[in-house]
Amino acid sequence: MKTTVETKLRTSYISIEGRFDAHEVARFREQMDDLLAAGTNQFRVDLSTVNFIDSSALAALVALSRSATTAAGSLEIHNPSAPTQVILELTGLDQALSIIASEESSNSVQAN
Amino acid sequence: MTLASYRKWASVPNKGQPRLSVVIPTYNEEWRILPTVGAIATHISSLGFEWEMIIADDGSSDSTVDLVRSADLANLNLLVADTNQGKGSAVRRGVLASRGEYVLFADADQSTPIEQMDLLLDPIRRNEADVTVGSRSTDGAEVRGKSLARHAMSKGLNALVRRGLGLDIDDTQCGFKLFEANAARHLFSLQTIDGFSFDLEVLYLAKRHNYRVLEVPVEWIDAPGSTVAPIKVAFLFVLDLFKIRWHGLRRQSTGRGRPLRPSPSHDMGHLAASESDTAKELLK
Repeated sequence: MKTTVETKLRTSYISIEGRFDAHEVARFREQMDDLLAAGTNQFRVDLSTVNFIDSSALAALVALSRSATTAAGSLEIHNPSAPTQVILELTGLDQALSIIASEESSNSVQAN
Repeated sequence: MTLASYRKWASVPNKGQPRLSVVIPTYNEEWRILPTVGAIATHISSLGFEWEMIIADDGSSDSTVDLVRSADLANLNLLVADTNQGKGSAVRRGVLASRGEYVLFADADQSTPIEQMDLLLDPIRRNEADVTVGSRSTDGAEVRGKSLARHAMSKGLNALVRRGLGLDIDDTQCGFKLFEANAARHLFSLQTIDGFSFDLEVLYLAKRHNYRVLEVPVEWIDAPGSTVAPIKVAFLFVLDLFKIRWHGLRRQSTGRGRPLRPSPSHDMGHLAASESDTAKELLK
């Protein structure tokens, strides 16, 4: 997994690429804790190039959402890839997390 | 189109015989099953043919069955067992219930990413193999996160398999195998091992019945949470190896399970030679 982070004021734009699973969660949490400690409270996480996300990674996103809310901010998931979108829906987390879907996801949801 | 294809698969039942059946055995997989279902369903639906998923649960005591049921997917067939009988038992039920032209067996932990299936399907579609075996040991395989203990255990057990059963396969235990449907149903109707060594028995039977088995290097990432105790596993594996040889000898002496590949391309001359080889290998 490859993660890139860009921070402007109190907003961090995080892009994750590859397989987001339990092997990567500890490092991800550490990075997010560092950002929180440095003052970030708005997290924009792009998952457009994540090809698999497991339950540990989903739990890490839920924890990050709570931490951001506690810091008077928020977490937004941007452009989840197709498998990520489906996994979020099957686990019900599409209702619990704020998701800004890609165009294909929006069209697909509207079509149903 | 990927999401649209998935949504169609999830909501509209197949009209005819599915091209592919994906069999996933589960036992207490509540933590992993939904991401695995999501990843597999999204990828295979994008390939543009009708297919079915079969979750063969093995008596889970957690919420695995409820989670799968609540997903309410039109082409997912959930098989439930009252008691835990072993992975081999679950895969056998799944394969024998399958209706596809090809049958993929895949572990529930997505250790081998589903995109790798394309590599296994191509040789069978080209009629170069009846069974393709995902391999972590052949050249070209990409393995990440495998512990030294598991690595050492695999090496030792593979050596035993080569000597004990005469199988020329580097990795018999990767939970990612694809079968042409007739081969799948034939082999699993003969297969008897209920535990995790069932793969070994299936490959041994495939050899005896002259199916063409091809090892295909795949990507494999260790899924944390796999609770494999190397010593116990090695002991049970060796025990199963004896059972497989014993069953083979009994079939040989009673004439049951006569080596026969029920394929139109079957070559009787080759069969006779192979039968003789099998007897030699069982008696050595």
